[in-house]
Amino acid sequence: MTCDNAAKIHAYHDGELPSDERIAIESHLAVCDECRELLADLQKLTNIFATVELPEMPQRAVSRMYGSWHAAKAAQDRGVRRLAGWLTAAAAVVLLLVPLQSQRADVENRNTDVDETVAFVPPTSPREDANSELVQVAQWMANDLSVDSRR
Amino acid sequence: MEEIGADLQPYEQNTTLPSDPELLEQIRRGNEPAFRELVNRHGRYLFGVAHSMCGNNADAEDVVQETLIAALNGNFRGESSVRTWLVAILVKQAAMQRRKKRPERLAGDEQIKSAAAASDAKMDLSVMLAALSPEHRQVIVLRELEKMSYQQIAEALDLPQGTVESRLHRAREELRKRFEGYQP
Repeated sequence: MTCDNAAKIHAYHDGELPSDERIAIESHLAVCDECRELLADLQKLTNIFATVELPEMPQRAVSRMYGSWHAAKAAQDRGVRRLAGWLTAAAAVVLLLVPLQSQRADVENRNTDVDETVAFVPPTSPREDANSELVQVAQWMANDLSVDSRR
Repeated sequence: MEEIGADLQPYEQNTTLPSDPELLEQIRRGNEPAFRELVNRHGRYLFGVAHSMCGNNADAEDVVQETLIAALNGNFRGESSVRTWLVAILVKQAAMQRRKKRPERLAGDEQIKSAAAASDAKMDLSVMLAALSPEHRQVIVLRELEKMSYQQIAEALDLPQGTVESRLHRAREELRKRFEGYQP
């Protein structure tokens, strides 16, 4: 094809041209045999696709499509179990780290000067309270996820 | 061999059937009859397109099954019809399957020539697409069968819009040459 407007003819055929370009290409079509022929061929091609026959579907294919449901559910369940496993592992790491952090905090507090040591009240300190809450949450997560992953 | 869930019917007769997006919502909530209804509505069409892209029943069945599994886990955003959304997933699944397998021609040139010459018979989609490369098949299916815009095709296939346009033009040029004498 020698005319440079082929791409625009395709876009015109597909309704992809803005209105100003559409008007311009319609003017061009009035004077260009090559582009008119291309447009006619594109319309013919679209008509072929509109009347084309699809291959028949065997009954076995329907059964397999119905089976997709079970396959998808199995895949989802595998995903949930994997996630539960990771979360359980994360909860276990939290359970291990929190006591270590508490021990380190105790050591640091023992090394501070006398005034600070006096100010530190171990049984009701906010840090220990927060740690105990963390431990509780982590234990709850581990228990809950273990039950979920066994289902 | 017993068919999986063959005893289950999609929906009771005389019930108001949900729209396609409503079906997807029900499917997401775990409603198996809704899934069967979706298959009943679109399965034949999906299989036809898959067969035309793959060239044989076995691969088409695999592709449709993978498409449905992907659709169950996917997120329909309502930017097109559900069928178009499913076909967009399907062409990508067909491409993934093709990468796993050795490329092969769907039909020989003789078959294409004889189909083009038989102007009184309806054209088979597989024969039409056999004339094209896999990349050209994708864009022509989405454009000519699904009437997707260039932008929608680009998004569906993760391609720049310019690439979609050039592939579409080349695909059509190839089809123009192959089916010059054919009258629909």
